[in-house]
Amino acid sequence: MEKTKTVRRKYSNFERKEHSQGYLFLTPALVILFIFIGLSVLFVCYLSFQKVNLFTGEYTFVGLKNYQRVFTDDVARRGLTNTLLFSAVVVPVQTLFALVIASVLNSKIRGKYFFRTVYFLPTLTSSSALTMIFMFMFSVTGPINNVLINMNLISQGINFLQEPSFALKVIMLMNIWSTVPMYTTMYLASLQDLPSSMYEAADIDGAGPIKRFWYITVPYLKPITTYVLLTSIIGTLQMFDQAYIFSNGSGGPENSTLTVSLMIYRYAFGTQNAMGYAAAMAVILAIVIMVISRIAETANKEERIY
Amino acid sequence: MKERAKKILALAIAAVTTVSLAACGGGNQTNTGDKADNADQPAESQSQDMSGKTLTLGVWGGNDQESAALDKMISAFEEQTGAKVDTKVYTDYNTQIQADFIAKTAPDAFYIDGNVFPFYSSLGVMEPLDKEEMGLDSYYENLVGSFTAEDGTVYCVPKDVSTLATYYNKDLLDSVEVKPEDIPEALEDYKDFLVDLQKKLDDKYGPGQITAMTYNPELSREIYVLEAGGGSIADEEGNAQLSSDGVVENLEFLAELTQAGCWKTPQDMGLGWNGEVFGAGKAAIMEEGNWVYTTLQNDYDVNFGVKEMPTYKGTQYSMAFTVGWGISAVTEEKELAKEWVKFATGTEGMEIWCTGAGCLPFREDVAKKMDVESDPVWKVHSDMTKIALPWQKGTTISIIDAAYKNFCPAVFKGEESAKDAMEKADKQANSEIANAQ
Repeated sequence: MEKTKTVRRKYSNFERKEHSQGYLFLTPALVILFIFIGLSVLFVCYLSFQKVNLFTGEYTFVGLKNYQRVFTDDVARRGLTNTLLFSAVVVPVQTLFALVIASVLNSKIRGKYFFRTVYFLPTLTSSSALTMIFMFMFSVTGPINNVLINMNLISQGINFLQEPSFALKVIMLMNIWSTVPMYTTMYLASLQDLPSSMYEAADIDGAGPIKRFWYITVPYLKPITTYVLLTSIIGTLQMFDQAYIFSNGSGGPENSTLTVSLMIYRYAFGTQNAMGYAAAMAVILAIVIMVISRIAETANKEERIY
Repeated sequence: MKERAKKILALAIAAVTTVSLAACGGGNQTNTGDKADNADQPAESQSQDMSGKTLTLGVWGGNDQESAALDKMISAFEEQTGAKVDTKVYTDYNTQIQADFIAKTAPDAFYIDGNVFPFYSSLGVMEPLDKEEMGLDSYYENLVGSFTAEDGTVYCVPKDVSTLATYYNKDLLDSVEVKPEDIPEALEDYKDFLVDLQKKLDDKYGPGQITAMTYNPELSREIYVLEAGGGSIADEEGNAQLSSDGVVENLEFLAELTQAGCWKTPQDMGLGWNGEVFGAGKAAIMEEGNWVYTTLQNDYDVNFGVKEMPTYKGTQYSMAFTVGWGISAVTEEKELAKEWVKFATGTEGMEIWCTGAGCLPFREDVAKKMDVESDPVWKVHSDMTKIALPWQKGTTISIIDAAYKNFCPAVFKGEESAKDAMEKADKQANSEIANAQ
């Protein structure tokens, strides 16, 4: 492929004025971003090398001690494992579901507008309200257990919320259920632009619905998939509210719902007063998210060759 | 021309943005100024020099009765002093007020939960109080201790106390022909009694429908049992020692109750808290604080009685949950804040508060005046005050409690031995404590 050459030329007076206007318009946003995001990021990095007592304003430089502690901390490892497991299950499942549901809703089935509305509803509910509803549904005497008992699958209600082997799975289920519609809508928006002639051509060539989905829909939606993957990876790795409400902030039972964000919150805002350690964990989490997102992005791009 | 118009528009937008941002920032100050001005007028007739001043109180949002009682106290105080009182209601109290302490914008006077008092008192965010000036002699002694720092300085004045007592459902017990007097005096006898009761309840209402007794797997309810016989869940440096022999032995004793199937958590019953389970008639016995009394009367139709807490290893215990008023170390209204604390915890304020909000007074004189003895339920709770252990244990208790909550369910379910689980809990708590240092 031939590379286009950019030629540097002198801007005219008019253009220069246009540019300065552009910057002027950008200024308010930039100032706000710098104060509320830029400075905070820098401050977190600074804090992560300190032992901090915010109440008395004492800062002691401790070098890499906070980071060393994170890497030798078993609880932090458990938190990270939970978070990664959560992400590894939720991200693929919700992407796949969103893709399939979107392409079904885009087909010529009856009542698709009704289904589109219904499927979008979970997104409108706040995640804390959702958590409460799910906790009710999965409680020992809740509807899920009643159904299971009535179907004679179990004889006694399972305490999904208090069993370490179930707790995180319930949160996974809840997260998938509540985020799929959001991504479905994104896929659906992109599918509206997919020219139907492509499907028709494939039809003539003898491709069935599955082949059409796999060879036309999926490749066509690749850019959206990248976006969906990135947002859901970031979202799942930062999961906090659901675990917090679910475990009442403790990350229990037996640390099964402990996520990295929840740990950061507990160190920073509990009665531990360990802002420096929390900051170190936050920096590490940010790096993990960046690395994983980058991997997902490149992996998805390479597939694009065919 | 067109270009100039564009430029002007851009500048105008930028200007508007700046002004509106500035307005947001300045809003607070303007408000307080206004309020202070307003308060000036009625103040002149007052004799005290508190007039024209504004006091801000940091509180958490209680139920309707509590809010009404606080409002009533505030208007009485405003009338007496001519000062204006604002309240700042926090939703997530200990998180939000910490941010205010750090920013040095904490309210002039605020609630401090006895449980987190050691943490705040170690940070120097509260004004030391003079024992005599605040009249601390008239308070129950074991509870004033809750607000005394290690060096003997008092930082808060207690505002009320809640204690645990044993609640029993009269109708449920009646229906299986068990008398309230049959409830044993000693926790050691509970197992046999509860197993028998559970069997009768199961026979009558179907297995698992009603539990003989509920419990909460958390230190705030079990610490007195765990520490009975001289053990301690934390050493002097605040490190967890849940796996020490005495504690483990006591935990094993509790685990026997749960494994016998007669002791269940509200969550086991699919509900939120003891009061709900008991109120819905799904538990025959529970141990709860006096806050549940008004709830049971107002929200549930349940015929209940209340008796004292059982003894364990020969000593009777209860837990006391206390809240105090503290004064910010950086407030400019120190005198006014002190006046408020004196008023709120004095005979007049405390009576308004405790009658309205439904809690026990912290002073014997007010207790007598309010005649708490005339109500049998209040009498039991009031009697428990003297023997109650304040829910407080150093600055690390919230970490230890979290670790305990995390690992004790496996013990109660019988999946893990008490020793193993508590060793895990200790390990986790102590690594968190070390990280925090």
